[in-house]
Amino acid sequence: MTRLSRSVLAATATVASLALFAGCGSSASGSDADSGSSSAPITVGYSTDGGQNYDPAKAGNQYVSVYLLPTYDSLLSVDDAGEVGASLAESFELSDDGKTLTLHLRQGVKFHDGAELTADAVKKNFERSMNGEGSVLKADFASVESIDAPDDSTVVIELENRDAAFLSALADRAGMMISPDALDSPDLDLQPVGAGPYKVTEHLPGSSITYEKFDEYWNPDHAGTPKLTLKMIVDPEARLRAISTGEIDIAALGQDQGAAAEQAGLSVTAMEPMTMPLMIYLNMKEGSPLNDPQVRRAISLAIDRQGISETILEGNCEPTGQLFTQDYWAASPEVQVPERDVDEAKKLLAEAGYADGFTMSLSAISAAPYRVIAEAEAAQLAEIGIDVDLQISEPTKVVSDFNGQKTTDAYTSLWPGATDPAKTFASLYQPTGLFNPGAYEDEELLSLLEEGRSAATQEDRAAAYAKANERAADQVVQIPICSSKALRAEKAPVTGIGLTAAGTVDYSEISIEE
Amino acid sequence: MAREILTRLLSSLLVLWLVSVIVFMLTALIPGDPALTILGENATPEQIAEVHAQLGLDQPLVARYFQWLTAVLSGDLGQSLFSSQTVAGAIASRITPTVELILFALVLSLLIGTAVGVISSIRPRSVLDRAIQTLSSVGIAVPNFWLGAMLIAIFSISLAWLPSGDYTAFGDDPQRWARNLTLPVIALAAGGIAEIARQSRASLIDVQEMEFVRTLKAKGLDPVTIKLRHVLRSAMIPVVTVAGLQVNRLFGLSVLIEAVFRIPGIGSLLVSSVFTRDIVMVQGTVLLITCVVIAVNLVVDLSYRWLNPKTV
Repeated sequence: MTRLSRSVLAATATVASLALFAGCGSSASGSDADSGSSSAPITVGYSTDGGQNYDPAKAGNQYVSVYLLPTYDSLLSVDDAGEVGASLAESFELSDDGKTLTLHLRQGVKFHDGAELTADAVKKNFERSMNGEGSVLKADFASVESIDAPDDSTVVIELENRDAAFLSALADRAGMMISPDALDSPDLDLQPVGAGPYKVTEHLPGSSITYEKFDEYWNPDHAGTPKLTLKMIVDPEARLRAISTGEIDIAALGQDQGAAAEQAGLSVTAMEPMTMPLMIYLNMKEGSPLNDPQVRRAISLAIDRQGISETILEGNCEPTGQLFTQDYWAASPEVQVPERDVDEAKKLLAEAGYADGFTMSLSAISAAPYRVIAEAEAAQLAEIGIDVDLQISEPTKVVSDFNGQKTTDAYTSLWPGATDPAKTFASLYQPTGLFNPGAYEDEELLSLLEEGRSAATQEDRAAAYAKANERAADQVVQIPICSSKALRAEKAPVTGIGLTAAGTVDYSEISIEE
Repeated sequence: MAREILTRLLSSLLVLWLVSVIVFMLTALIPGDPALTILGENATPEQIAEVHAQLGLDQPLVARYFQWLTAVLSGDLGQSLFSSQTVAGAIASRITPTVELILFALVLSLLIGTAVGVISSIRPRSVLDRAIQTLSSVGIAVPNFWLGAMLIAIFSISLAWLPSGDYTAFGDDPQRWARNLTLPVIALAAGGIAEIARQSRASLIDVQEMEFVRTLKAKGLDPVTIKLRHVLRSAMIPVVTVAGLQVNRLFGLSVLIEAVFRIPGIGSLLVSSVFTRDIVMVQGTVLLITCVVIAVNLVVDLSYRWLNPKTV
């Protein structure tokens, strides 16, 4: 090599290095504007991609709502007290017999593609949800007899019978309005077109989705960042790393990551969903020991709820004996948290004919902290003579084994919540419920659930559901462990992050505090 | 030459077909129901049955395979089970980061590995040579994903010099693109540098002891010219073979590196598709990777003619 070429090489390397490392020592911020300004774009690291399908009528699992809420508004809204209110429908009336629902649409609402919200658009959305191929909302519309659009801003829905859960459904996916011009779009699931505060401007499935503020949003009071990016970072450690190094502004944390985040100098905030319990779901089939309420009671008494919460989840999970927190409108104030009592548990097992114990399988997904929780539960059950065959695996297999093939006796995980308790009850307590693979039926419980669904007033519903929770706790139909908190780490203080009635994090009004 | 290429192409098609059968059957046989993932926690038995019928999951495995094969032969790689994303579209949107990662890692491996091999071969069994050989062994033994994690710990978290992950397109921000790729490329290239260094050292030592080299020295050619123009070229055949194998290896390792550094490439697409049992996406991605591996092997074999026609 000649002297000249060596010099050129050295100079090139120097310039390249300077360019590459320019900005070394400063954080590679996810925000392009100065922090501290409410006009700063925000990047959030979230824990799941929600299934990569963002069509409200075809997106099955609850976690996908995080991605739907910024871009799709629903016809109605529901608050923590279960009271249904206005949204895209500025008012509504329900007839005395509960069979006719009339929605009065807000005027001048535009979709992101310029189409207008009309009664006809609502009707088309409903028809698609009720009859469309691949729709997961058909059950929400089960009681609908007919839908009429007498004028541009009025929708009249006739129901077969009173269905209190239907109104809540219109505050959730079933009420999310898609632009009528986009209903037949083949890639609607990847390119949402709603009437929400943000429109989707960029989407890399499985990686990130970017929203920008919709200038013609119907609510002039809406405050939020001009640009929101949700990055799907499944690995909790990778999420924590990303916010520690400044690559994202906010990170959803696991319940066991609060201390680590604070040690890294991050600000940690905890929100308290009311409908997200950590559970042990049971396969209570005929012939199984778990079919016996006495056995289930023994298992419940053997579990150290406080220990799991404090030792594994850093106190971010409040021990509970029912599905909801006590301040939730459908909860029961009477249900107590079962205190751990190993002697009583052994006694109950012996009375049920299992003095020598028995073997059962317990599954959990391999991600932290569920694997550790399952190991703790297995150890606690071993103390009362139950030999647990622990099956830790990846989510698809775990769900398939418990919910699909029904070969696992129990599964410990977080219930993702639902806008209306009827949905949660249906999945956990109905004999056809996905999380009741043994098709267990408690007649009294089912009767109370039906009472709640067809109740004329919110008070009546609450009373029926409170009794349902008491019955479920008394018969130990499924085993709630603790009510989980939702943690997040922030680089700078933010405002506008809320929780829906289902406990889903809502980023649609997020902004960085000035 | 043409006949050889034709024979290679025919055997490649056979390999592709065998790979497609094995991967399809294996993925379909892993426990897991995509319908449950699609429908979520409120699924009813009727909905599950409906999804099975829609996606053809209720059909026999062999029938499903031939339906897929028929579509592929007409140019349609299919669509994800979970969304409207086509396999071709998914691959197109994710291939750039993977190609960049593998290409830069390969170039780095070749350049640094060869240079280190040349240096090491100048005085075999010297202190410098032994030190380089020891480092090469360490480089081969260290798992790439562990190295990636260590690089993050040092350069991202402790020193805050470089990002811990993510990917930015070159067109969006060239500086961020380069910074995002630096650590993953180093993590991916480390093993390759070590292997190429060892192979090129061994090969150079063999060649430089051949008679034609002594002849060139006797003719008065300077040592650097002999080394770089004559010895290196002859020694490159095994190195090229190793480099070709590196591409295969890099594809496999890129899956881990993409996971560690959160790069939305083909590797992470394949992993997430396996976990969700998106069999159509798995098939398409594996087909692509198999095609690349076959093509690379063909190029490597054909390059022998150019490097040293006498050895063919």
